[in-house]
Amino acid sequence: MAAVCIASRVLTKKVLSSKALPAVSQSSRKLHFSIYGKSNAKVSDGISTQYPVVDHEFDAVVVGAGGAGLRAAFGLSEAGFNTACVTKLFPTRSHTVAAQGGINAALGNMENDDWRWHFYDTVKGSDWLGDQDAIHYMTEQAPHAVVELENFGMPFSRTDDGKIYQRAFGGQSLKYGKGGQAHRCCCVADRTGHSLLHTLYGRSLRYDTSYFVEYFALDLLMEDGECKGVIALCMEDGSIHRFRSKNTVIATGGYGRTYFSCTSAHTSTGDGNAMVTRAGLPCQDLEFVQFHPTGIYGAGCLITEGCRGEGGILINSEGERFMERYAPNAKDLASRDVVSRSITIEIREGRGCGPEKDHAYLQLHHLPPQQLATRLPGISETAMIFAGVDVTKEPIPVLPTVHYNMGGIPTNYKGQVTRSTLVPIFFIHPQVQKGKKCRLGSTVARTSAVPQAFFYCGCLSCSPQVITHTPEEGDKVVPGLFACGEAACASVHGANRLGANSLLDLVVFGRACAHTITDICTPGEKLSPLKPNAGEESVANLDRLRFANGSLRTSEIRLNMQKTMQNHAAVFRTGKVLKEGCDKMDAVYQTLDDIKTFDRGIVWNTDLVETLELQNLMLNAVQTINSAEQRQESRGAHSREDFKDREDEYDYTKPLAGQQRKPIEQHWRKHTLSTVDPKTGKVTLKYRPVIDNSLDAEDCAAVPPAIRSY
Amino acid sequence: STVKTASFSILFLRAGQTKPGFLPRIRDEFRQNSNIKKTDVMHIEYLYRRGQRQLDQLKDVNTKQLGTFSKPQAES
Repeated sequence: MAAVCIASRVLTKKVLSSKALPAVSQSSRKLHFSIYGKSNAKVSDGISTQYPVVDHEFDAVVVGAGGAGLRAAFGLSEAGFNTACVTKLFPTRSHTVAAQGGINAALGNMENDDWRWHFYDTVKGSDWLGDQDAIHYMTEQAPHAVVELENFGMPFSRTDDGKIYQRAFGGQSLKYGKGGQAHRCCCVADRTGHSLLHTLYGRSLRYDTSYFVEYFALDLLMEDGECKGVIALCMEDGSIHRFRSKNTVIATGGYGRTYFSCTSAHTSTGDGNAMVTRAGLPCQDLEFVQFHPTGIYGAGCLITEGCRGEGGILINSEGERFMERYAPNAKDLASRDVVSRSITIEIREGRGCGPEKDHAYLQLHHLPPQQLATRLPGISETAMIFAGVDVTKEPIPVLPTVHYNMGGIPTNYKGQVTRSTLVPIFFIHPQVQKGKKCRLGSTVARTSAVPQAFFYCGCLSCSPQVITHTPEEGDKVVPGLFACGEAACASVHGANRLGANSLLDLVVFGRACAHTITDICTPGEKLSPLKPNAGEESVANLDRLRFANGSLRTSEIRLNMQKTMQNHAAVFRTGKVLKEGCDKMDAVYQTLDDIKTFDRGIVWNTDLVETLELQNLMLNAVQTINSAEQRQESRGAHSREDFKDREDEYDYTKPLAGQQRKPIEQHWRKHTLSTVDPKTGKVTLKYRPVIDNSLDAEDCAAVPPAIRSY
Repeated sequence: STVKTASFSILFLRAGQTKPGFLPRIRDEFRQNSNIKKTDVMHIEYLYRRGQRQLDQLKDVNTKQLGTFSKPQAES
């Protein structure tokens, strides 16, 4: 007869009092927590599995040790916080190491440059879905961040007079788009990510961060809407570890592995997004998945945009430089989504290369071999190994491949995770009248004497429920939770990311999280109490998966998911195909209940870890495809064949005078917030407005939306 | 060797004195692994290396307590 023990902790002495209750629950999945060794006598007969739990307490916990995670971790250690860094991979194996291109910063080494031009380029690149305050923060901090990296010892490529070499990169221009191509991507040949990560790792060893390497983070420990820590599985010995802390930073990267063909490592499984989803919080803009134009055909390995920056061109089967037709000014250095679409259209119209006419060629052999050897050594090697091509003689076969996730955990520009509280408001705001500007700078469309569901300016700072103005304008901060890097959505990349902005995003927002935590907390603060059995559901799930005995293997379900996503949510999307994809994804999600694992051990159980990763990938995949199906417009990386235009509050293809501003429910210039019920796989979508004002309107004016053409 | 194991276990016990839940767990772990053959050197060395890492972690001031999640036996 199973006895269920309830553990309670008396405050003064850590003594366990146990009450034996008659067994009531049918489910044998109920776990109970007890401090080891105490009062186990009654229960010891009835125990089938035990999971030892080690409890740790820190001032801050960072999940993930890539570029953003390391920067946040040692930033916090530098500020005196007791920091833990929990990572499932050794820090130098994080996917940041694979980044090739570079970091954008308006240093002005190659020509006169201004960070406000970089700001403009990023806002335009995001197709006006990026939050301009976060973009302002990032582009203004960029030169400082790059100089800081250089001071850490990062071996940037140099010009002849010893300054940091900056190359041309997609979407970068001078003088707000009117001054031609800008050269602002600081690089280390074509191995910038590798260099960045190793520099950060080397630097981090100077500080006393506690690294928990090869610990797989399972879930957040949430209580009363506040994040109180993380629970993780130590892969080496199978013990469970609970890290209690007042501040948790998520820097777990993206989820490229939801697609069959991607440039991401096998470890890019969206663990952070899934942890946040399971905690009941929304994820933002997951439908925006970037397809990098030049991934090697077949292998999927990345050929950096830097090739095109150094002068490489894309050609079709007729030998034509087709980008001139699609982007007359920027040509091959147009924004990535434009180039990906162009390649896809060329292939569809029959001008693809190769025997199956299903890819394009990237030509580099017209460049001097010496330049290829100094500036692009990495891709020369990659092309030889994965495509068997000598770049000094032949072109590389390339195809658009999934590369980056613009969406993620919604944060403000300081790195704090936010949850939007757009709820129906049934009052009239006394102060805001039609035509007046609300704090966001948007004009209120109308007020009415009749209670209505939403305010048309779409922001809650005009709501009577918010008596004091909050900088988060209706977005409420989730206490104790931060996010940075690819896992976060600040949102600096909006609907499309410009190349070389991601590495910048990592270091700037990693540092921003550290600064914000330093501002709001002090080291050594007492932790709020946590329920003794916190994290029980995560361990129950782990246990269930460890002994799963269905009929489908993890690899089969994963392949089904990847093929569905690749076929139904690719570069060009159609309503019918997306809907079919949503239904198929839902069916695949349900098959998770029928999963079968083979390794019953707990030490280095990679079958179990892959299954946990599959659960995480599934949550990301269902949100991606459902958000894509709902968004009926084409914006940035999300292009719909049945809704080819961008739907903003005004029609920016025509003069604005005389146009009526559309209410937020009728246009699509808004962020998607998606939540999932993990038990059923049902996705719920809400929306939140874009932040259109920069941090300082006098220093850097916000960019009003316009047509996006290159 | 048994001498090494004994001195090793003393280090663990000392580390776990002030923290709840450590001593029974440490005892259990040592008892569990006591039946390894003396000649199974690879296994012993692996456990020793793992034990070193665990000791460092347990000694750390941030590690507060050891507990356990137990699953009751399924109803037959």
